[in-house]
Amino acid sequence: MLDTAQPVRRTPGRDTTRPARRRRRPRSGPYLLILPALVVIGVLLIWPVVQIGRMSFEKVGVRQLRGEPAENVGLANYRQILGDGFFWTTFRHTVLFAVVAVAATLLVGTLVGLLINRLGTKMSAFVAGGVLVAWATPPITAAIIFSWLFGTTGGLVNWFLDALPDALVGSGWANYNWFGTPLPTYTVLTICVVWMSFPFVAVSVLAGLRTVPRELYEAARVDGSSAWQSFWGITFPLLRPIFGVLLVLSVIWDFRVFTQLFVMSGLANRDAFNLSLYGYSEAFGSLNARYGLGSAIAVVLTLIVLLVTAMYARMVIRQEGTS
Amino acid sequence: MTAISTTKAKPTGRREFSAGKALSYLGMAVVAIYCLAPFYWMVVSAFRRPQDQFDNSPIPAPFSVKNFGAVFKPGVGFGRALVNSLVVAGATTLLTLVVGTFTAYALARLDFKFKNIVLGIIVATSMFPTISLIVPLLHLFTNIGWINSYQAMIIPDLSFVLPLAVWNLNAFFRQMPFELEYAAMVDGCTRGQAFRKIIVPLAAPGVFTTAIIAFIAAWNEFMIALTMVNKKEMQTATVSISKFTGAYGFDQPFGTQMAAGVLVTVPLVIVVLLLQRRIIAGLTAGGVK
Repeated sequence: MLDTAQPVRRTPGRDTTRPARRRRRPRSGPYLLILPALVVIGVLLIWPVVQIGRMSFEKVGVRQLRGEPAENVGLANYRQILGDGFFWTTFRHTVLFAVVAVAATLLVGTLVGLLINRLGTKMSAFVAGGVLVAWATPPITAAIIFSWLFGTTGGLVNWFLDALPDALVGSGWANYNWFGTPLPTYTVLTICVVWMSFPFVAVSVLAGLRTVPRELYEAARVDGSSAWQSFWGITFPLLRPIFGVLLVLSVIWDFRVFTQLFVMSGLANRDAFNLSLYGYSEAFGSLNARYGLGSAIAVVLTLIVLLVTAMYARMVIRQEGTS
Repeated sequence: MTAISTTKAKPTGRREFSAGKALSYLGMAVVAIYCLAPFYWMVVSAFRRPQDQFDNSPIPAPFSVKNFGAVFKPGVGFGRALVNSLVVAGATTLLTLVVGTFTAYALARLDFKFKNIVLGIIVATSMFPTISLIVPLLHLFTNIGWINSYQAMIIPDLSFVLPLAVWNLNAFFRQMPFELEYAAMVDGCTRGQAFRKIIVPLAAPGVFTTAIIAFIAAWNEFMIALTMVNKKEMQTATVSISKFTGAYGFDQPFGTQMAAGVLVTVPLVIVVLLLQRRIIAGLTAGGVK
C-alpha cells in the first residue's frame, strides 16, 4: 500500500522544490492539471485505505461510529476471522467463483469476438449490438432477471428443463430451488456474471483482431494451418497484451462481485456468502454492527485485489512506456 | 440467411469456407439468444398482467401495462428514485468530465515526472473493492451529517468513474494530431487557447463517449447508494428495485420488478445501440492501441 501511496504525496511538492526551471515551459502546469484528480484519489483511496487498516485493529461498533473513541484490540479481529471456519468458506467461494467465472468470461468473450470478426459489416453490427445490450444492463437488473429465470415457482429455466426428456437432464426440475445451497446459487451467479462481463472481452478482442493484418491468416491458410492453429500461432501471440489486461481486469471484477449475489441470495443466506457479502454483513448487516470485523475482512479482500492490481499497473505502465 | 451465405461463398469456390460460414451463423444465433433472451424475458414479463406472472408464453397474451402502474404506485417512490438516479449519475458524470479532462490532457500531452506512476495510481484506484471504501466513508459521512444526501453518493462514485474516464480520455487525446496544437501556438495562441480552440472541439466526440460510459457506470451503481442512504426519498432507482421484494406482502412481485427493470435499463440500451460504434471505440480505447 505504502509504496503506491508515497509518490502521490510527493508529487505536489515536486514543483515547489524546483521553481527555477520555468524557462522552456511552465513546469507546474501539468501538476496543476492533475492536482484535482490526485485530491479526489487521495480522499477516495488513500484516506479510506488508511482508515480501514486502522479500523481493522479496533473494536468499532455503532457507538464508536457516532464519535466515541474506539478501543484498540490489536490483531483480535484478524485472529477471529482467520480462526473461523466460516471465513474460509467464504474465501473458498470467492476464489473458486473468480476462477470459474474468469475462465468462462474469457472463453465466451474471445469466441464471440472471433465470431463477430468473421461476420459481414451488417451482421457484426447486429451481434455487437446484442452484446452491448448485455453490457449496459445494470447489475441489479441482471440479478433480478436471472433470479426470475431460475425461480423455483414459474421460473422459465425450471419449466424448460422439466419439458426436456428426462433421459437427457433427469427429472424433478419443476420445483427445483436454485438458491437453496451454495453450488446451484453460484452456478446461476456465474451464468449471470458471465452474461454481463463477456461483452467487454468480446469487443476488446474484436478491436484487437481488427489490427491483425489479414495477410497473416491467408498465408497461414495457404500453408495448410487450421483455424485452431491460426489462433494459437497468430492471433494469441499478437493479442497477448490485450488478453493479459482482460485477464487481470476480469479477476479483479469477479473477486469483488457483490450486487448480483446480494440480490440472488441475500444477507439472510449466510451459507452462500463470498468475502464482499461477508464483510458487508458484518459491517452493515445487523443492528449490532461490527465495523472492526467487517474492516478486517475488507482488508483481506483488498490485499488479494491489490496483488492482482499491482500486476495490472505494471502491465499498463510497461505498455505506456513502449508507445 | 444461409442461402445468402452459400451463394456468397460459391465464387470463392471453397467448400470449407461455406461450412465455416454456416457455423458462424449458428454461433451468432447462440450468442444472440444468450445475450438477448434474458433481456427479452424481462420485457415480456413486464407487459403481462400480474395474475399471468407464471405464464410462459413468448408473447404476453392479454397485453397489460398494469405492472408499470404498480411501479409508480404512490408509496413505492420509484419516480422519485429515478430522479435521484438521474441527479447522482448526472452530477458524477459532470464532475468526472471536468476533473478527468484536465488530468487526461496532462497525462497524454505534457511531459512531467512520475507520469506513469500517476496513471498507474489512477487506474489502480478503480480496482479497490467498494466494501473497503464504504466502511470508512460511512464513518466520515455520519460525522459530518452527509447521510441521506446526494453528495454522499456522488463523491464515492467518483472513485470508480473518474479512473475510467481518465483512462478513456487519455487514449482519445493521444490519438489526436499534435501538429494542430503546435500550429495554433505558432500562430500566436497560448497553450490554454490552443487547448480551448483546437483540442476541445477535436476531443468532443471522445469526451461525449466517455460521458456516456461514465453515466452508465454511475447509473448502475448499487452498493454505495445502498449504504449511504436509509431514507426512501433519497434512494436511487437500483436500490429502489432491490427493495421491491416483499414490499407487497404477497408473492415476490416479479412482474413489478421486471417493469422497473425495463424502465431503468431501456433508456441505457437505446443510447448504447444508437452510439454503438463510439462506445465500442471508447471501451476498447485503453486496451488496444
